[in-house]
Amino acid sequence: MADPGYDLICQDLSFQYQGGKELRYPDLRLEKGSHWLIIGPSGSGKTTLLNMIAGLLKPEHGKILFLGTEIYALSSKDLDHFRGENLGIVFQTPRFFSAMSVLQNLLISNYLAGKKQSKERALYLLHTLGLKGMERKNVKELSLGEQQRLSLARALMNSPEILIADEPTSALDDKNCDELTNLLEKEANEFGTTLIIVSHDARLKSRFPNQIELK
Amino acid sequence: MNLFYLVWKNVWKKPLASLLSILLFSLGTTIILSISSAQESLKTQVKESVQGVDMILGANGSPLQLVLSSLFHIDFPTGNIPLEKTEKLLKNPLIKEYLHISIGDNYQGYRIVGTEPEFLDWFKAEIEFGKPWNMSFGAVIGAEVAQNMNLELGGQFHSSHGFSGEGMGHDDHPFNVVGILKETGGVADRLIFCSTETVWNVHGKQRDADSEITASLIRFRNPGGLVAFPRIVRKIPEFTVASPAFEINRLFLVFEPLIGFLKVLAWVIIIISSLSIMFALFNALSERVYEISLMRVMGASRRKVFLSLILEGLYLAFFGFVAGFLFSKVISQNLLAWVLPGFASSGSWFEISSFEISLFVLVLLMGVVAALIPAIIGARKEISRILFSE
Repeated sequence: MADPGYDLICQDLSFQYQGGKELRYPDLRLEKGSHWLIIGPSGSGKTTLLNMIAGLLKPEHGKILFLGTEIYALSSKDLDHFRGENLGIVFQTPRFFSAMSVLQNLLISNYLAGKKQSKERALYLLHTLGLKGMERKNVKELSLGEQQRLSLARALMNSPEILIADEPTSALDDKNCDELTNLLEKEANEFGTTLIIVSHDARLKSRFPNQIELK
Repeated sequence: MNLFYLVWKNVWKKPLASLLSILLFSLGTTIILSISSAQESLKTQVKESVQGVDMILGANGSPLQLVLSSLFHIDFPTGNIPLEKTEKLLKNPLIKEYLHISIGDNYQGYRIVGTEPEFLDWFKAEIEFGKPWNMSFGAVIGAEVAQNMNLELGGQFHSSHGFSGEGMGHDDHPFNVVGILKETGGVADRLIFCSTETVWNVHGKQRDADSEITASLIRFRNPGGLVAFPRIVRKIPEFTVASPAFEINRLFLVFEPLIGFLKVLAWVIIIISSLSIMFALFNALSERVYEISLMRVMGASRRKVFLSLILEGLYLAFFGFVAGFLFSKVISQNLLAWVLPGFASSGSWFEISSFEISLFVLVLLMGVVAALIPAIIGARKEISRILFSE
């Protein structure tokens, strides 16, 4: 049931951790290029949902159609590849390959996804995200705000269909929070990327009309 | 950017731990390769030095000492033997040819050997400049002597008594350099040759009924001489005979357990070094869980994670081997010369033996084995809930 209008369709999803309560999720149909904010108190299963969408945690029930592909029907290797190719993720705590430079951390995203390594794209993204001239620096030399922007640049290296941002602003002050959210929206719009932000950050609520609330 | 680069960066993220693993690997490799190469060189050198000398006739004493002093020129001679009596003994149908040598003097530590120019044919040495030592006080010097003593054709030097270079001088009789030998890589490089008469003359003597020499090198017509000749000699108390092949074999037998022990030690070091790699990778796993998760999230399969960790073990083993290989080349070029002056290594820098290749493969295998368990654990890691917030 491939549906070209939708990037992501989740149906009848549920998951239960050992000894925990069963988490049930509302069905999702995310149109291509749409922006979503997933909110909910801790324990409501936001992280579990992200893991399932990212192909890292198989749901107990239901299915996930990612660009029309039922991702949990793929082999482990194909799923890894599919994820690398189509999904960009910005994590709450920016994590990098600490031994490598800013530029290398971007290029490795191409390499691991099996794509051609594009230095031009890396430099372009660094430029647009305000990290111009930092390509040779070690990632450890960057400030937290810069690291979060680098994290976004990396997520965009493979021009993903869907960009997931997990609590991207929780560690940032108002100014950096605003800046990053603007960038997220701008980049998503520029490349027609579907954007999913998971956050309990009240500052974001007013900015994203499409909200999914987990209870 | 590729897997090799990524792993390369990871190896050097912890330079001290990596260097330690490499150092341990190289230590084991160095010991094993140096010993084998020294062993090989020694055997080749010994074979070359023996050069078909079946037996040595000398003064009563230790046969091994007789062999070492008259063939390898490293020990003191057992004494002198009377020339006339010796020649009588050597007039024997068993003997094809013989060569007298007279030693006991030196020039700056280089031994002076009084003998016939046939010595050069016996030991496959060639004169590069000049001519053989036919005349009195004419000397032909080995290549190393020429170089280190700065002696040229027509140069002069004074010998002194003994072998140490500090003995009493024979100042009245300078030697004239009439020839210089081509480099042989063997003992001849460190020797000075003159006629037997010259040795007598230095000590103010001429050939007479009491003349003495140090030893006679003998070649038999057939192997039967090895059995029959000693029987004759044993009846005469002032003589000893020694078979170089037999004595050298005995000497090697003495060394064998020591060499065996060193080899076992080297393998223990190599095993310890793979354990150190294993522990280092285990330790790194918990810190590296984020990077492994990153790799997977960015599209790397479990297989790729597995390979990257195996590759890390391989890198360490590879560099350990290469370092050890180079060390061993440096050492084996010099080790023999340190232990036994006059013996050079026969191995060259560029020769790679099949033993070295098989050790290379074995060491790499140890690297893989060391990385195997950490790699399996790393590859099987469930990465959900590692990178996302709670």
